[in-house]
Amino acid sequence: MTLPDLIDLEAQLARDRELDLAALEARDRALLRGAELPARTGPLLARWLAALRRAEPGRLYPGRTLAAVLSGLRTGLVLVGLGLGWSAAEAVLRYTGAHPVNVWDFLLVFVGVQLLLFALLVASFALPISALGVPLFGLGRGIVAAVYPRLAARGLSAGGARAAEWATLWHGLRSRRSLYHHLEPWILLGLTQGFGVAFNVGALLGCMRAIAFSDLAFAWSTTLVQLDAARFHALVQALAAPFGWAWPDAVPSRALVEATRYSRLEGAYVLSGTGRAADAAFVGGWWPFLVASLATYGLLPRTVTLLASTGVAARRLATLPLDDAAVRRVVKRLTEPHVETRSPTPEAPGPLASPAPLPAATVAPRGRCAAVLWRDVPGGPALTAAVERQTGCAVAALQSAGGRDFEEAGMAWGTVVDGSDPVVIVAEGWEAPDKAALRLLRELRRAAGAGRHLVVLLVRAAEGSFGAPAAEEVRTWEEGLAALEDPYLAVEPLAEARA
Amino acid sequence: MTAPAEVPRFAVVGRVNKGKSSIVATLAEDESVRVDPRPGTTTEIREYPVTVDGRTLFVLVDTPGFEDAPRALAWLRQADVSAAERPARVAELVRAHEGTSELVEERRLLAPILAGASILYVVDGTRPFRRNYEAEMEILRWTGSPGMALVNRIGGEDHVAEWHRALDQFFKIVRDFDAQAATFTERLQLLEVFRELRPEWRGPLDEARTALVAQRRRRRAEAAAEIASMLADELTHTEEITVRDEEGLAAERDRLEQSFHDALRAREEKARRRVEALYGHDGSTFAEGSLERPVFQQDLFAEQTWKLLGLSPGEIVAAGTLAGAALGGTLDAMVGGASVMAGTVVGGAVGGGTALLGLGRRFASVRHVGVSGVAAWVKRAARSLDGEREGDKTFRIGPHAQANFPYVLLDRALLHYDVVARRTHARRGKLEVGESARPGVVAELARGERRELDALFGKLRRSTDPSRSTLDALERAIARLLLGLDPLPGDARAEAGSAAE
Repeated sequence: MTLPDLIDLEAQLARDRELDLAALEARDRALLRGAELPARTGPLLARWLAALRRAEPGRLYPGRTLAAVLSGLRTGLVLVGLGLGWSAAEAVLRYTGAHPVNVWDFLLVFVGVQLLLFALLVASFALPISALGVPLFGLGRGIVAAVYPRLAARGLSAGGARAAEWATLWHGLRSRRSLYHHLEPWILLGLTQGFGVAFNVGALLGCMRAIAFSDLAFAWSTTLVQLDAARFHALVQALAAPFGWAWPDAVPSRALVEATRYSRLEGAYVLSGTGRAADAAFVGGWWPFLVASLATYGLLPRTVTLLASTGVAARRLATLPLDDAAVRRVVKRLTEPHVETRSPTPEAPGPLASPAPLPAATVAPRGRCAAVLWRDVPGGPALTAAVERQTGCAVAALQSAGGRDFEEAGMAWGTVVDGSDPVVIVAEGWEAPDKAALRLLRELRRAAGAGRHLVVLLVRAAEGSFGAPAAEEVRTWEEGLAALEDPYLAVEPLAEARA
Repeated sequence: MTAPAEVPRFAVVGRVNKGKSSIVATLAEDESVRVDPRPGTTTEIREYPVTVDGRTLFVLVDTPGFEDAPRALAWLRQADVSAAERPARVAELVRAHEGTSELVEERRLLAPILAGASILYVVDGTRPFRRNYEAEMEILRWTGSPGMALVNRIGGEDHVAEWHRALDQFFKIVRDFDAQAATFTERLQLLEVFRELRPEWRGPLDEARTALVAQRRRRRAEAAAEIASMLADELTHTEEITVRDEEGLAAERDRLEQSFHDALRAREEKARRRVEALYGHDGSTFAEGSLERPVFQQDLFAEQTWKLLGLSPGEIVAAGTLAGAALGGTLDAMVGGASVMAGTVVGGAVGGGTALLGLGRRFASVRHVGVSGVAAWVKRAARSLDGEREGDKTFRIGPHAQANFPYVLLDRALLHYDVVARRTHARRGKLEVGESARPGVVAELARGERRELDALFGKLRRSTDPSRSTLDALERAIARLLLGLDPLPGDARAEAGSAAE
């Protein structure tokens, strides 16, 4: 996996976190449909991200941008390092002929400071310094922590939604939740060490220019009485130990050390009497040592660290732990089939709201009624008694309808209902007032005439006895029959028999 | 006999208001299906294709209900036809009444069957069998299409046995299926029964079954991720205010506490909505108040909630004692046992005592946060740029430190998940209180599971930015808990596979 892919992966995971799973599954499966999917997770994710970039180009894919920024930063740091190194060499090796170049200055700037910085760098990796509260190392982090929200707030006010997306992304990338979090220290280390290498290369080039194209005279001096030539020689010999075996000329001789001790008071090399040492080749003899020291203590550690950081970053990138639950969920989405079960078409408009049931005219019993048993309501004396109790009149005629054999076909309803008022249609409450029921009622109305009372008596039949139906069932019938707009049609639940 | 269609189709037919649409809604996991007690709710045929990667594997067809079956059967019987001619006679019925207002529903529901769909005849097992239903079954038999009967249960009475006696005479396969309460496993079993209707349809139905199980497993994994994320957010949430002096704090304290606890409530709410959406319960009919058991209806910080969910007081004190003893034991080990186990004893006592002290606290409290180090110095400098004065004090609330808090959250999340995962898409309106019979999931956890969760919650609370590995471990732990609530076929194999990865 490449760095741009990793950053894009983090951005995409963060974006997808808020989306609906079904939509994600549909999108991802469609993206790679028909393609042969790589077996390994890294290449699979890379292909997914590439497909996403093509399918949704308007989205924020910061990977390439951030990689380009890092690349630009790296180039800038290298250029700045080269320039600074060159300038430092020019400054340290500045020689007008008035006084020779002090070897101490060179060693302090190009060896001492660099070794100190390198030691601190190593220590910051080896020791949990920040945890110990050493202020120096918390400074950078503290400044970032303080400055970042302010910059982010300004960016947000200026840049709108896209800036907010960048800010969220940046926050996510820096979080310990991100895979990038494990990579970032090595990337930043690589950047700083790139600068360090460039600085040393610039310094070496500057030195070589000064050495090759100008005449330099080197010297060393000290106020300390104890630091005599013998001790100074021992010091430089120790410094030259790492490279002396390979480049013997780079080890200053005792004679060189003694001969190049310089006194600014006298304005001359100490052992040269009143005048300067005349042998320019001899007093310039420090340069191999100085160049080798710069290369050994400045360039070499930085180069090694740069290579190590680059290698570690590359290895971490190549072996990212793409086995956590978040990534596995993406892989499942990509590799497992996407299922849709919902209807792609919207539901047809439902039935219109029923008109409010008309208040039915009051039934004035005439002494006899006719009963129609709808949809196999269990008939018998118990039901007849229940009807008579409810209506207050005797059941003179009893007819079934709505049964399996369509017994009402061709029925002479006029004969059935003749002289009966009301005409009672007995139905079980849970049966719906369907079209067949409406047709029956229309036929009964035609047979009975306009002013005859029709009563739909709803019952609940259970094991030979009859009771009242549920209120909801009564309401359903009232609403269903309201379409007939019949003022002499009533829906009644069977009243419970008094004990 | 009509020619079978290329794609398996199942026409869901039956009398009006007997639960056809409920069964379709449950099988298709589609809340948009209109389920209404009024007759004639389904007026048109609506198809629910089950597609896998865009390929339709089978189609459920919701149809209008029979409204005039005896009349239709009477029409069919007017001609004396042989058994072989009956399907053609049914087709003739449809043709003969085209363009009229007669037998509209019957024509519509018969059309997909005549086009090759198999029959799923739905009856309501809570209503008694009546002879007039034989007219519907007879018409369906005349079509010659293979079919099965589903005895749905809409109400409370039980007439299933008499329905079976009747249906067995008309259908080769009769199954009970409660569309309101069917589990995922029961839906899969129904799919397996579908295979028996036509052997040539087994391939696509098996493929659909595998894909549906995989989809359900993905949903469960996503739910685990959401719950884990919610727990991480809740356990690391803090809010801060900077005030001029202590008096300023007194004025702001209530507002800060309110804001902090509201944020926790809102995060829990968000997680719930996302889990509901995962299972397709994102319709407006999902009534929040009724979703939960009595204790669940309580606020996250209600006293009753904390009494009934999470760990018991004894378990909290025991957990605190164990944690303290472990820390003390480490110190004992560091001094080579020279402390004569004093570290373990004192650590246990301190841990248990601290847990005991915190038992009654359901709310987090505001505390002063000291500033030290360069980072704080830089922060102060930055604040001074914003006009804050030296001497301003910063107060923070959170993370919520009560030992039972993550367990209460987890319990509520698991109970909510249990209800959501079990809720079928035929359900409308409010769920009945007490529907989830579980007293609380956390109380049933094994000791090992509790220890693992203790460790993870501890890690979460120690950092406002928990590591990816901690979150991953939490998600996996939650996923294992959800596996117990919503077991799926092949779970053991899937677990072994993921462990191998």
